[in-house]
Amino acid sequence: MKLMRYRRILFLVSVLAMVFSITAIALKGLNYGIDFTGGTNIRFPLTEWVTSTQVMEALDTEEIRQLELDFGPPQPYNYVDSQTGRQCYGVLITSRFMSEQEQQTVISALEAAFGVSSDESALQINQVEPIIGKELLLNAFYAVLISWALILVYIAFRFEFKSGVAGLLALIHDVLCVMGVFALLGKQIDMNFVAAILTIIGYSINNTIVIFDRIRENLRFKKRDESFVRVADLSIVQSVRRSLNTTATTVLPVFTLYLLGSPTIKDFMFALLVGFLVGNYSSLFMTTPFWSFWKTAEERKSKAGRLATVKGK
Amino acid sequence: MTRALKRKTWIIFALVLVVTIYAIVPIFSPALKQKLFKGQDPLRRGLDLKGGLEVILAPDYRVESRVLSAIQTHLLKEIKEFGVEEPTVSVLGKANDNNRFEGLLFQFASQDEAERVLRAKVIKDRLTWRAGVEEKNLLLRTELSPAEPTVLRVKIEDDPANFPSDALYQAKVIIENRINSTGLSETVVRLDQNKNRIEVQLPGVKSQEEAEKLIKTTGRLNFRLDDRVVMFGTDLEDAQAQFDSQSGVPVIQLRFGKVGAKLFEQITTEHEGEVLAIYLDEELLMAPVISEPIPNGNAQINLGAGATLQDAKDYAILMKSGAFPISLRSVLVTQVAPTLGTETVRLSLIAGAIGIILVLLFMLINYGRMGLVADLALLIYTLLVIGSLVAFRAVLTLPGIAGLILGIGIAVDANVIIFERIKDEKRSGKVIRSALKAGFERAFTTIIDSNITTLIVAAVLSYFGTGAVKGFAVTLALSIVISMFTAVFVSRTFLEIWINKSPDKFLSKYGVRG
Repeated sequence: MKLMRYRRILFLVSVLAMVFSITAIALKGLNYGIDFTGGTNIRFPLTEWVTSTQVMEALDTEEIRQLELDFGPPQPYNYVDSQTGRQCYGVLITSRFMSEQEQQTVISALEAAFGVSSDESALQINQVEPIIGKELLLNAFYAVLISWALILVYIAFRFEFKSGVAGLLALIHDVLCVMGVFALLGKQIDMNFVAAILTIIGYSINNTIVIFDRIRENLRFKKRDESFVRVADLSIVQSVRRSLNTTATTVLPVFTLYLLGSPTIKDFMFALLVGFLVGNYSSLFMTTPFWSFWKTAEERKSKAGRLATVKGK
Repeated sequence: MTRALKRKTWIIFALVLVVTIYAIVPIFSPALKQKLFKGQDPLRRGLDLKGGLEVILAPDYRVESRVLSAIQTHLLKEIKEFGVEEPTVSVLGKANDNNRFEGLLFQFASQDEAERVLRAKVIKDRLTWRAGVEEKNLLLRTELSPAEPTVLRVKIEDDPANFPSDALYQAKVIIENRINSTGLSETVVRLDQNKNRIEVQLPGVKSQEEAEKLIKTTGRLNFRLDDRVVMFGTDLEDAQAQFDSQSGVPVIQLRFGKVGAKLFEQITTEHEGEVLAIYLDEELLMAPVISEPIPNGNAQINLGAGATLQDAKDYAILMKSGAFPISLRSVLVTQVAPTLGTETVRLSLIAGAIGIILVLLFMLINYGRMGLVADLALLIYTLLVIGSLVAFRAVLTLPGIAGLILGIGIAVDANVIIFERIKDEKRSGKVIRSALKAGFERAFTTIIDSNITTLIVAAVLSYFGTGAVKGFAVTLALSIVISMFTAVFVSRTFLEIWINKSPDKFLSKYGVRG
């Protein structure tokens, strides 16, 4: 196997994936949940499926219009209650941060239009003040940045700076790809998504290090005239089996949860699935080519240097 | 078996036994559960897996409409004296749950006038407002509205110095008492001193109404004569509902503290026959008439005909709980339906079990005998992780489950790395014993390096993360440390035992597979 012969193509695929993701995020935008934007979510239980338009019409009363609640598009949902086996329906309503009185007004309007649900506990109200939302988002952002910085320092210390940059690039690639997919599908970005992203970072860096470790070891025993590319090739071949086996063992439980899970779990596991797959790709086929471009340039430079000395004599 | 190997086996055996008795048996034996965990679940579940309600409360420094109107009159006078045309005034934003407002909007005739008023600091940064016994300092922030340059936006807030420095702590204690009296279990009331917030978790609470009664009636109790506050609820020591011993009707018995008793005597003597209205913040609770001077700080409110003892109890709770030294507003409310929570756990358990079984099979098929060792190590890993979660009283959340899944991956991965290494060493011509030794030694640096980077992520998260993310970080960190232990110590011990017992068999099996 001479995978590194295709290193430019392999790396290009990753770059294209990043460009594609950035375009998706820029064009479609990220669908932030109230965790980050602040606002009120009302999950209103229904006895049957209704359309988004019907809900909008029910909420279009004089009284509610005056409150200027800034509604997002209502999202109808359905699920099967595992205890009773019944099919349940509901609609998710998003608005700015409401006071209790305003919530009551909205709920009364919905009850007038669609009737009162028998299952009282299925009515859920979640609220986040905009200030808190901003704080949560910033916290998550700082956490990611700081962990990246520390990872860079650790890899630079244990391996070399170039490999640290390569590892970090892979992390940026993975996070961007997952965000891009979520932007494309319009899925919501909330606190669980942040946890998924962090899991992906942990997984991807773990994977990358295992390959780097092989390269480090093989570099120690390499012959004088052997190029970095050849060493990298050998290392990838040596670790490909381990990488695939490990991916299989991690993806298996995630995939079962994705298949069986309720809507919240589904989105969470979906993020993990996408992340683990792109993380695997980037660890194997993005970091090593990137490191080798840099290394090859270095090798050429030092060769040129040696030649210069010869000439000088 | 060598002595060292024997000792290692005993350590593993003892560890498994202790963890099983401590963490696993109580799940099936209520008696042991009662003894070890006071009847609570050994593995604590977060609200997202259990259902319930989480509320984060912060001090409400916004101002009441009666304060706002006084400030408005005052500011209009100042502006008039400054010599610009009188602006139109409206309220900034909408009333919040405590019926308080953010501030005022002044619409001037021109942008020039608005800017002049702003520059000359006609609207001061600080004002003091007085009415009755009430007096408070207010902080004002004036700026040009970015959208409409003729409008000055004045944000008005209570000066935090108006309240005692431990006001939030007192409020926390009050909420705690209220919740404890309900008998709800595993509730959390936490005060974050740095951020000035109180976090309340009520697992198992089904409806918002139920929770609202407990924590959302957060207003400040006050007594008013003629719509002027004359006394605050802070002076109220106790409020009890009971039947009057003579008439037999339900009444509310109030007891005031030393200062309160004196003030109450003065008020009731001077205003006999008048209405003493009782407010919770801006909301009228009741308006009893003062029938006689009350000297000793013990007052009785007669609810009148038709009232039940439950009515009296509700009022008493509200009055007692209303004795907050500070008004609070909820800045975050998270509600998870209990059915959804248990559903999530059930699904995760099924999926987790299926996932682990698949992983066990996978390892067995791929690595034969070594796979069997890895499977055994993985089972011990799972047991130890659950045990340590129980021992540290960590809270398992949905992201926490992801942490566990990642942990399984990492634990298996360590074994895969080691086995692949041993194979490599064997291929390069070493005998099985030295291949094993070299394989473990070489794999060790890989495992350390790859896991330390993941540990770094976990550490940063547990420091920066809140709630669910923190739960994730803790489970991840525990999984990593334990996975390293099982791979390097447990797997190795088992492999060594096997090779010691029948090196040829191990070899032959290995030879076929390699």
